[in-house]
Amino acid sequence: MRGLVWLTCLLCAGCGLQGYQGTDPLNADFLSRALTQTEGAITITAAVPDAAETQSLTGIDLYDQGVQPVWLNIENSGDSHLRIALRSIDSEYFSPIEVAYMNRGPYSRDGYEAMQHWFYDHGLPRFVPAGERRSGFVYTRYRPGTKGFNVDVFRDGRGHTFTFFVPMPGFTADYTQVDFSSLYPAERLRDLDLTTLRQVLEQDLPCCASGPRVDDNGGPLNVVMVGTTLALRRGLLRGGWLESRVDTPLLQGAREHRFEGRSPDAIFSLNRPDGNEMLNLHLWLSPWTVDKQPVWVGQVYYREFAQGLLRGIAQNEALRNSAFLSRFIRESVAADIDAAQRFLLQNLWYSQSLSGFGIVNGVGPSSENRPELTFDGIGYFTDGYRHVLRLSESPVTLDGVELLYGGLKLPDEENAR
Amino acid sequence: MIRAPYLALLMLLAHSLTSHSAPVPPPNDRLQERVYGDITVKVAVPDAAEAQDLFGADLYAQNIQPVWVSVHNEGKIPVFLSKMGIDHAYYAPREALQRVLVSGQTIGTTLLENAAMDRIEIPPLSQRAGYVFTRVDEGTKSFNVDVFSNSAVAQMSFFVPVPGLRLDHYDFDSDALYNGDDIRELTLPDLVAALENLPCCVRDTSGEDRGDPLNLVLVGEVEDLYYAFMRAGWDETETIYANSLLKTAASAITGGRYRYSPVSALYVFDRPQDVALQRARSSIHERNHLRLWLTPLRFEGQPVWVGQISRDIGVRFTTRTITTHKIDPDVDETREFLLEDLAYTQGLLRFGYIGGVGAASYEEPRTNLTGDPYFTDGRRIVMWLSGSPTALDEVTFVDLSPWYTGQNGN
Repeated sequence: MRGLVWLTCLLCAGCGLQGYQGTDPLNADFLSRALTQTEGAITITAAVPDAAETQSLTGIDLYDQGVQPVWLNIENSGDSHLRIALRSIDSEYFSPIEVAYMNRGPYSRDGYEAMQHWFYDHGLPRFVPAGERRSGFVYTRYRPGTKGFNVDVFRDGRGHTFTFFVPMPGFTADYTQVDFSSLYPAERLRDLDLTTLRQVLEQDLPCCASGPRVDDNGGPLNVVMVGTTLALRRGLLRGGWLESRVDTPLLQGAREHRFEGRSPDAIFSLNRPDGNEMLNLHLWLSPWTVDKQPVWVGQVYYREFAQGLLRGIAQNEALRNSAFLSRFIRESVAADIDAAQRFLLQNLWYSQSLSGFGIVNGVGPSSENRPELTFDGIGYFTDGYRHVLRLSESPVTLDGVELLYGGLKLPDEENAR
Repeated sequence: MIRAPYLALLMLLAHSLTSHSAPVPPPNDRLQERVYGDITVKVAVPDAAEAQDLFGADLYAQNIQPVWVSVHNEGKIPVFLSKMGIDHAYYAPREALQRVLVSGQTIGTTLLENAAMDRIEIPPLSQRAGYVFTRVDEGTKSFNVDVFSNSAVAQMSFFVPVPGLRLDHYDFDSDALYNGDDIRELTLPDLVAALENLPCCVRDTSGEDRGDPLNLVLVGEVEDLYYAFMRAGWDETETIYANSLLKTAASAITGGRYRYSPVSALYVFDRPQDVALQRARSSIHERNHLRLWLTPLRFEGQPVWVGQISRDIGVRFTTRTITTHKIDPDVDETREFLLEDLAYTQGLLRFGYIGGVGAASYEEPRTNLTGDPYFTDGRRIVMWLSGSPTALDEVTFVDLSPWYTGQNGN
């Protein structure tokens, strides 16, 4: 009993003794990576410290708590004040004093007072008077990879949106390792209009990706995106998609899906906020453009977690036709591959990135009774269509989506399912 | 307005119509209906027990709430229902299925898929009905049903009460609060003066001690208020009774996310709050609380509410209530967040600022009833709520400064 009392005293003595010494962010190294954008009389500079830089700046491992500080400097050279909507940067940002209070544990009373003051003083203010500048941190939820965010500022009720993609040290996104300019020889590049794009998609583009072997079925190429790189990145950012680290072992299987003999140029994934389902989006730059905008060929599907097992089955002729496989396909989330396609369409539509939409042929139907099977063990059925999604850099209202293609013959649902 | 090719788009989307099965019947008689031109939408939400009976498995326990939707299209062209309007993270039927299977229950794929509203197209002169699998909202299930046609995007909001939770506003009878003589319709200058004279702060039961500042004024019907806040992800709070107190205690210990934790009562006009809402974040330690009281004032025929909002940043122990939420002392930060949240979720029409609270600085803060300090510029925000979605760039700022009285409420 006496031992317990002593232990308690020791534990209490261990807390609440530290003082606090914050660092001046204006001298911090991470500012050397700052990016600047100007629109009219507004100039915004953004920089994001990594985990170690955050710790040396604040003395606290904020990344470990899921908090990622974003530093902004906003210059107002106009003649009226600016209002910054902090919520545009992260709809669930943490307030400065909240971050301080979360970390009060080790500090003495004076130490905590000093820390709270540091966080309060270095929070980004909401208002920038005419002719002045303001800087400070917004504490966002941590997102792995390139830090992408919007900053909306308002002047006299008019909004201006800035979008930043701040590269983070130690994270190399897969697409940064692709030399897009040398993928295709000049004679293969073609600028198309929508009509010729459709011909190409229905007649030239193979139904499916391939796999490690040329004749492997790597799953349907069921989505085609048309848009600038900025439109594509903004759209996927708004939709909550995460980019992939070039060396992540998790996606080794995904990288075996091939188009034009190469792994996806970019893999994006979207996790359910409340579950372990994951949508994968594989994108390849095609040799085609439409009105000079790049055309991306892709596939969207739910990732199967039992993939190792499934791959074994897929490669075994006897098991391929087993009752197990047929039962698995009846319950599998990934098998209903059109559900993923439909989700992506609504995802981009509702995040206001979609300016045009069309459905074209090219994949070919398969049914639940006679499913197709990929080399890595995903059994699937589909109506057999491709979605063509044209993306816009600026937000599009729900009713502003334009038809790209019409006149498709309706499929016979009996055959499709 | 929708462009001409939109019709063709709709025709095109019709690539997956012909369903031969009869429409799935509603789960109960708590039906709600809205009509928009040629489109009639009906919805009903089964409670946990009804869902169990329907599907033979406890879907609610897996955070799956089936919403029955029927769309009757009496027009000559196809219309389209988007599931994402109902829940932006809806479950595909097989996602719902897997959740149930993983929990060790049995359920047939066919049962779920046949009951699901999977196809999104509703052909001319036909009805389609089925379930959309959403995440669970207890209390009132609030959602939008977005139906696209060649003439419009019909956005309809539904509020469907689901039995099983006692909520503050069920006990709320606005007519009982004030009689006709008390109610005053005011012009804008008089409204500003009256609002600046409202009490600065909430009180405790005895009416003696001052607590959190009343720094919000909302103008709008109670329906608009619920519409705006639910769209922004706010939940109602459960009236305090033993069972839910237990859930809160467990939640405080584990940091788990119990969305309907009760709030304690604070007093204005000698009565506890008329409406209490909260917006849960990643854990109970991080949520926003909001309390509102109906005032006898009206502006342009609409009721005026006064309220208080706080951001919880942790739990701490007190001698008075044993545990309490530690609030962010920067109450203006929380106030401005609410403005942005309502504007971004398209529930805000206009806003402006008045006085009435009295300023307190960071160095010399005031304290609330549980001894937490707060500092403020002393202003109240006045927000006019919108009954239908209002785009961000349509929100207007109203300069109320010409009518400032310089008074602070007691």
